[in-house]
Amino acid sequence: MSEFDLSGFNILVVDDNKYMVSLLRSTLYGLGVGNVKTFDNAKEAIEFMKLVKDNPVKAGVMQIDFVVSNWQMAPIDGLMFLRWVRSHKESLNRFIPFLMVTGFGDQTKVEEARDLGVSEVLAKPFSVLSVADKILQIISSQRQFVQNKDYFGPDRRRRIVPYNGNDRRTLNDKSPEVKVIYE
Amino acid sequence: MEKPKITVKFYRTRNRLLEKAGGIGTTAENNSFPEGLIEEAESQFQEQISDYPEWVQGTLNRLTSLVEVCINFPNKRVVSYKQIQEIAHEMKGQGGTFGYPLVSTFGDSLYDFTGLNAGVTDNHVQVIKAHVDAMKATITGRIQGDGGEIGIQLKAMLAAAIKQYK
Repeated sequence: MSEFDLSGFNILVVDDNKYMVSLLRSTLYGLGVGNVKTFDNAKEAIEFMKLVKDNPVKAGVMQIDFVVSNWQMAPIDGLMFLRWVRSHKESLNRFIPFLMVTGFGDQTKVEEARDLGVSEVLAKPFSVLSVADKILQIISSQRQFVQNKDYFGPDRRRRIVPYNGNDRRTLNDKSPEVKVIYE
Repeated sequence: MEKPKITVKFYRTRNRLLEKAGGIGTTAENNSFPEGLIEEAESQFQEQISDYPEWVQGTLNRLTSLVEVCINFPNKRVVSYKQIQEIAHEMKGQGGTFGYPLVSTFGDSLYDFTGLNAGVTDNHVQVIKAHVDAMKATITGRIQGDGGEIGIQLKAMLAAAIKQYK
C-alpha cells in the first residue's frame, strides 16, 4: 500500500459563502493538496479557467486538476457552471472532474446534476472524511466519457451488473454508429 | 452501402490524476491518504468550525429581518419566503457540518414551510418565525449534537407551534 501525494494538485473551489469556501480550502490543504484557488462566484471562476487556457503563466497555474463547486449560488449556480465546463467551446477542459457540493439530498436533484455530467456529489453537511472519500473516488475513477446528442459527461453507469434479461441497449462498441476514442 | 452516422462517442482516456497522486503504476486499490493525515485534518477542521456561532449571526439577523418583513408587509410574503427558503437551504447544509445538526433539522423543516405552495396567512408566518426562533436558540445556546434534553424541548416547542398555527 502506498500513499497519495496531492502536493502537485491544483483545485478550483467555488462557493458564494465565504465561510464554506474557507472551510473547504483548509480541508483540502489539510488533505495535502498543494494549491487551492477559491472564488465566491462562478463568473469569476469561469474567467479564471479561460485565463488558464489562454495564458497559464499569467494565471499562475498550468492546469486545474478538478473543480469543487457549490450548487446553490447566484447569479450562476453550480449546474450552470457545470454546463459551461462540459459544453462551452471556451471551456478549459470538458473532461475535468467536477465535484458538486450540495444540501439537496433527494434523488431527483442528484440525477439532475448527474445528467449534466457531474463527476461526484458531496452532500452537506460534510466532514473531512466525506471530502477525502470523494477525492479518492475522483482520483481513482476509470469511467469513460460518453457523448451523444443529449449528454456529455462521465458514463452514468458506474457498475457493470450482470443482467439475465434481454439486452435492450441498441448500441455497443462494435456498432457502426459508435466511435471509441482512446487517449 | 453508406456508412451510418456516428451518434455516440466513448472517450477512454487514461486517468492521469491517479498517476499524479501515486506515481507511475499506481492502481486505485493500493493507495490511500498518508497515515494520520485525515485525523490531523479533522483536528484542524474542528478548530476552524468552533467560531461558527459568531460567524452565522449575520445570517440569523438576516432571517429575523425577513420574518419581520413577512409580519409587517403581507404583500411581500411570497418574495420573502423565497429568500428565507434559500437561507434555510444553506443553514440545512451548514448546521451538521459545523456540529449543529439541530440547525439542519430546523432548516430542513423551514425549507419545506417556505416552498412553492406555502401558505401566506398570519398563522403560517408564525410557523416560519417559530423555526427561526428555534435556530437562533440553538446557536445562541451553543446546543451542539442532538442537544440532549434541551434539544428535545426545542423540537417539542417547534412542533407545538406548528400544531397551534397550522
